[in-house]
Parts: sequence; C-alpha cells; structure tokens
Amino acid sequence: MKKILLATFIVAFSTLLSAQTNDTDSSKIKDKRDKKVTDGTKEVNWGQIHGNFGLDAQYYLNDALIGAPVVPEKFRANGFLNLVYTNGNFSAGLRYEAYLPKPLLGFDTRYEGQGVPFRYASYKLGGLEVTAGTFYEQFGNGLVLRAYEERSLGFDNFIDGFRAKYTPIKGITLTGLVGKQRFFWTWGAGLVKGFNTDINFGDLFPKLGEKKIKLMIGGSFVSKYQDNEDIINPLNPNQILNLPLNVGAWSGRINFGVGRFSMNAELAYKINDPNRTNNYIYKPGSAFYFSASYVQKGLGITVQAKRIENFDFRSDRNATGQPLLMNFIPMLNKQHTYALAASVYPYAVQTNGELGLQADINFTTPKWLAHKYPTQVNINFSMVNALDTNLTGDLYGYRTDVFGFGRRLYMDANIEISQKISKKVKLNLMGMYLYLDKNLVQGFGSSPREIHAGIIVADVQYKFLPKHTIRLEMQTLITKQELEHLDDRTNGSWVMGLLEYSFSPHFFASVMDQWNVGNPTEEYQIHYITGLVGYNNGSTRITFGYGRQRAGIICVGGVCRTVPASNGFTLSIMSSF
Amino acid sequence: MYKAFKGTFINIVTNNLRFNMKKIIVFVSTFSALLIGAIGQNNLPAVNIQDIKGATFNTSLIQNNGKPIIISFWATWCKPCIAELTAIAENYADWQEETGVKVIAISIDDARNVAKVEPFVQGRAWDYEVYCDPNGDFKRAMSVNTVPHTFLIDGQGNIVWQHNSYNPGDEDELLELTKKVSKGEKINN
Repeated sequence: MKKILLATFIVAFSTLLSAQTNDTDSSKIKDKRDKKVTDGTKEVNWGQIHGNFGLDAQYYLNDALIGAPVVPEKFRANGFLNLVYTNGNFSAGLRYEAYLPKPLLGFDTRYEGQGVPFRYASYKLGGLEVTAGTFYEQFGNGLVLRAYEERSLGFDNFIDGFRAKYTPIKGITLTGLVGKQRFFWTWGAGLVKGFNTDINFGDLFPKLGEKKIKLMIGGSFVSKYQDNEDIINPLNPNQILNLPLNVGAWSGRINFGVGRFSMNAELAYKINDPNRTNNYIYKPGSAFYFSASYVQKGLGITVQAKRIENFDFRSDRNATGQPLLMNFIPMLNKQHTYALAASVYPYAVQTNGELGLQADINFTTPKWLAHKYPTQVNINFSMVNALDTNLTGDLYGYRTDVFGFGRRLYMDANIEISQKISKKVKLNLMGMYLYLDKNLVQGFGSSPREIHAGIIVADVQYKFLPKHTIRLEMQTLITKQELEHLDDRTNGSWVMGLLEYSFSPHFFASVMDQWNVGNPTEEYQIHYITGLVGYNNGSTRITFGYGRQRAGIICVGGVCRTVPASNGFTLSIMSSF
Repeated sequence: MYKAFKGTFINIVTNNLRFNMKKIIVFVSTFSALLIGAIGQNNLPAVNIQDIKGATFNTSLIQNNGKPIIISFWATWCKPCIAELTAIAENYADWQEETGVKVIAISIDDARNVAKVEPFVQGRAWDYEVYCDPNGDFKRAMSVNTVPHTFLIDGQGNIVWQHNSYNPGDEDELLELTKKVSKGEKINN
C-alpha cells in the first residue's frame, strides 16, 4: 500500500512539474517576475523559494529578588522557519515552529512542542484567487474578522480551511472563507464562515478620481458554529443554558474623502453570544469605529472615536486570553515606544466594553520660522472610559446608553519634539501625562487603583565620526508611592538610562538600566540592567544579551501579553532569504 | 481479481521506476541544483495591499521606469524606521537627482494606526510613495521578520540588496549602493 502511495505521489508530482513546464512553454508566457533558468535550448520556469527564520533562546538564571520563576531546565528556545514557493500564479508555503523544551517565559505553555502548523497552497486564475490550508485575513478594520500573527507576542489565530477571492471587475472584491482557527497545535472547537465585499467607486467611476473624491464601501458577514454543550446558568445552578449554536455578526463601513479630508467609519453588530469572557450573558454586541483626518504638506490631523459593547468574538465560547479571537478591536491611543511610557502602565483593550477618543496632530515647522533644520512635533491626546452600565439582574446582562460614559480607564496626553541640531546631533524630547486604572484595565480586581504618572524622555544622538554614533536616552516616570501595594514590584517612580553605540552598518552595543527608585519597599528598588550586542549583515541579525527583564505587559499592535521577570542570557537570530 | 490487479499495478510501477532509475537520478539532481539556484527572493511578489487612501493596490504595479527603487517596511510606532526615513528625507531630492531612485515606504501599521499613516507622512512632509499593509500580506510575501527592513530593487525589478534594522549612517551605504545600481553595476550582498 505504501508503495502505491509513494508511486502515485511521484507520478503526480512529476506530472505537476511537467504540466507547469509545458504550460509555460506552450503558452509562451514569459513572466518577468520569476527567475528563469536556461536549460539547454528551452526556458524552464522553476519558480522561487524564499522564506525567513527566527530563533529566540534564553538561558535562565535564578533571581528571587525580581520574582523570576525558576526554570528547572535552564534553557528554552522559540524558533520558526517559513518557506514560500512561488511560480507564476501558484504559491505554496509552510512554517515549522518549535518551542523547546518549552516556550520562553511569558509565552503560553500550550505551545510546547514542535511541528508544522502552517501550510497552504494557492493559485490565481484571472480574477479568482483560491487558497486551501492556512491563511490570514482581515475584513475592513477587523471588527468582525481578523486572522493574523504577532510572533513577538505568541499570538497566532490563522484560519485553516478554504478561501476564495474574486474580482469580477476592477473595483469590486468578493471574499468567502470557511475554516477552523488555530488553537496551539490543534484547532478551535468552532467553525468560522465569512463573506466580505469591498467596492471602490473610484475604480468604477474614474471621474470621481479626477474630482479628487474617493468613496469606498464594504460589508461583511461572519458566523461561527459550535456544538451544544452543558453550561450551567451562572444565575441559577439548577439550570442548563440554552446556547445559540450559530452566532452571526455583520459590519458595514464607508471610506470617504474629498481633497485633503478623509473619513473612515465602520459599524458592527453581533447577535447574542453567551461566552466565558462576558460571563454567558445574552445581550447582543456592537462596535463602532470612526476616524477623520485632514492633511496638507507639513500638517496632519487625525480625530478618532470608538464605542465597543460586548464584542469579544471567539470561535470557542469557552476561550479566554489570546486564543481563538476572531476579531480585532483597535486601541485608540498612541503606541509608545520609549520603555517607561510603553510598558510600565500600558493600556489593554477592553473587548467587552469601552468608549474611546483620540486626537493626533503631526506638523513640521514651516521654513520661515525654523532655523536651518525644521522641528517636527507630534501632539497626542487619548482617553478611554468604561461603559455606563445598569445591570438587569438576568441573563441579558446589562443596559447602557449610547453615550453613557462610565469610569475612566485610561488617559494619555503627550507631546514629542524631534529636532536636528547640527549635522552630527539629533534630539528627541517627549513629555507625557498618563492616567490608568490598573485594576480595571489589567483585570486585577473591580476596585479602582488609580495611577497618575508624568513621564519625561530626552533622547540625544551624536554621530561623532562617519558611521560611528552614540545615543543616550534618559527617561523618568514620576508617580506617587502606593503604600497599600507594598508587595508590588512596579510601584512608585522610575528612572532609566540607555547608552547605545553603533558602527554602521554592522555592529551595535547597548547598556540599559531601569531603576524603580521610588518603590516604597526598599528591597524592591531594583536595578534592571541589560546589556546587548548585535551584528547585522544584509537580512540577518544576531543579538546577544545578558541581564534582567522586568515583569510587565508587552504590547504590540494593540495586543498584549504579560511577561514574568527573568534573568539570564539571551540569543536572538533573525534571517530571511 | 483485485490481488492480480494490485500485483500488476505494482509491477508496472516498480518496473518503470527501475527502468527510469537513471533518469530519475538525473532528474532529481538537476532539479535540486536548479532549486538551489531558485532559492532567495529575486523579484517582487504580486500582493494586494492598500494605497494611502485605503484603495486596493497590487504590488506588481510598483515600478520606476528602469530606475532603482528602495522599498522600506516601517511603522508609525517604530523609532528606527522613522529615523531611517527621516535621514533619507533630508537628502531625498539629491538622491533622486543623482540616481533617479524612488523610495516606497510600506507601513505595516494595523487597524489601530493605519488611519494615522497619511497624517503622519504629510505631517513629516515626506515625499515618498506610501502604501499600507495592515494585515502583513506583503510583509509575509517578502519574508520580512521585523521592521525596519529595506530592499534595493534594480531597474529590471530584481531585488539586489536588503538590510534589516537601522543604525545612523546606514543611509550612506544605501546611497552608495543605489548609485552603483543606477549605473547598472553589480553589487555583492
């Protein structure tokens, strides 16, 4: 039997190859975009193979002071290899992943193991594109469907199934998909089905473009099916919930612009979806996103608003945390990158209810005002409140007003100024006020824990010789001590210094100290010192580090994960080909 | 009947395999050799992303009339990316005059920040052609691990050089390479 399979495979494979070769030869398609190899007299198109590779390894040292968990096996590594083969309109790919012997601290332990979870094949034929296997997808802003990967967070919710995209005429795209989502090394319990349409009137009516008008509309319908199960009514232990097996959600959106003005709005609705994150209530969910902007050379203004109500959407009603999310609720606050601003008191999106506003202004000082080098300024304000809810006391959950602002969860006002001083010196300054209700946002409890903090950052870069640059970053976070949280290793004020030397284009070295100088518990006034050296060549980057990692929340692109404290040696290798 | 059929089938297949063994070895070795020759990204893949206004744009349309192209993957939250694009922007007019190069900035900002990309670019007064890749389709097709990641494309559409990360001064190397490419010289990477 095995022999037959093997033989069939070989025959099928060689037929496939020869079919492709014949096709290329007979139709005389000369795809400039693919590498050609001259084989004697005829040209054979062998396609391309490319991919990328990454390895993050850490050797853990015990460090009870910072609260680092003990790692008995000392060494852990996360690695992956992507391979993509393309030949004309055909492509196929796979990804090998390994978490050996266990995932790095901070990644979900259910990733333990190794395998090839991601593999697909797809081809295009005219306006049709078909994919079988695993794929990523986003409808509109992602309010009802977004399958994506954020490797640094261990987030991956690809769909494994079928997808077809069809463009009957330029300006109209239809997408249909069905499949199950990734759940570590297997699939989630629910089946995901989705349909999406995007229409660009600018393509359909070119005259709109001439008048500098753009108009795009889109609509999506997404549904999940999950088998019935016995879940006890949280309000009545003698009763089993009557669960909806199919849960549908839709969204409609518009993207409109005239000249320098643009606006983008999306409204989404979901029928009753009792699930673990909303404590099995039967209230329908809704989500609204709005963004408007004005631009001219040297000036850009954005105003955004959103309202999210009971909109955690997963393909398994019992899932929590990162796994099996079907949608994406964007955070509307500045994505900070300076360490103290980004990761001491970060905001985490509340998928089951929040109201958010953001204003963002970017400008460059006009030439007549500036001296030799223009100044670049970014001013940003954002705030997020919980919904103002009235509990109904039954399985419906709660009622709320459309504009009912509940408790303040987060607020952030900041200004950032970039100034080139001379050919050798560049300066970046940031000042920020931050408010966070740490308990409500990070899920530590229902009683408020209000943090007010001021953050100042000065970042100076000095290119003392061609190719040789030194960068110094000084940060401070000032906040009052919380004497009722003496067991918290993130408490009170911080200072941070970072010194970085780089030798373009291949080497860099840096040393950083984050010091919780204001912690009311004296032994927790810890220095988190880290040293890092790195080498870059082409698309390869190797870094080696040693030091302490502070416990906290790391957020990338609106999704966060908590990282425990750790101490040890790190090695990271990234490469693509 | 079935057994007989099975036996015959296997015989036919194995005989053919034996008969073709030489051919197969030749085929496999040639194939592997060619495959190795085909390894590595040489050309731009054709992927649907968005223009800065949100309309669909296919990356196969990226071109610069036979002159070099720099493609830089970046994000509004990525400090080194902004440093790199700012450093190039300071002398972009000179670069263009000297080499005819066009810089294409691909923002990988997701739905959280994608609406802020155009105001950001305009606010910085960058003259680049900017596209958005909010779900990472082009990023995956180009095997980009992290941003910034910069590609240099020659006049024929071949990827001739790439670099991950940015340190101050890297733009000088990029300019030297771009000059070579614009003169049609080969570069080693």
